[in-house]
Amino acid sequence: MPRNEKIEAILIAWDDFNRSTPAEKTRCMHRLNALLDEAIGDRPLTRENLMTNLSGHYQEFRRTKKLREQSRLPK
Amino acid sequence: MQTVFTPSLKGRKLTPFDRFEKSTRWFQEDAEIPDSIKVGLVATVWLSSVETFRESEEDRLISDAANGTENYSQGHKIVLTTLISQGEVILDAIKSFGLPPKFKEFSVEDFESAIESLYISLRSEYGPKNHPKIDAQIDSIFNAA
Repeated sequence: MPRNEKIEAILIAWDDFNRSTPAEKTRCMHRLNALLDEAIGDRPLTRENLMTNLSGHYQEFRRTKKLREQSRLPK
Repeated sequence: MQTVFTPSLKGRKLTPFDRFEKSTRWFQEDAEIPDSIKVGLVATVWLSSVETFRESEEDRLISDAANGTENYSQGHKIVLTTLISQGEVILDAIKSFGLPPKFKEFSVEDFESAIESLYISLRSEYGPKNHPKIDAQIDSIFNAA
């Protein structure tokens, strides 16, 4: 499945949620849930369905992000 | 006060939280230290442990990609479920004893959200996969965007 803006926004929000400071956790979770709910609309799907579907994309997103961060570090 | 720690599983890799537990039993057993202080400290250390866990996940993603191995190991699942279990016990203690009066680092809701982030990882990585019809429906959402 090709990446698009909707997926990208969800992956960023998912990562923000996982990597946020403790005091930001609830706010980040609400943002992620809002994006998932928006994507679902009135379809008979759950947030869990979407996150299961996007799990592989999320792993790839994290790997790419980490590699990018590492390449910026001074050798 | 009830203990907010769970016993370590024999042979399991220790998380930072486990190491904290082992080295601070005296603190847990000190009746002069208010329960809310104990709970606040334990909750803070658990959250740090979750942060370390997330960092180790990323390191693993990089090394697995380099080695052509599977994304995660059984060890990852064990640490993930252990953190969830510890988090639930600490949450129960927070609800029983509260956080310290001047504590501003995070709220009870934030702590619950941190546990939820781990449940999401567990469900999305190790839970049941979607029915193909569900995946097709989701693909159509994103392909239409």
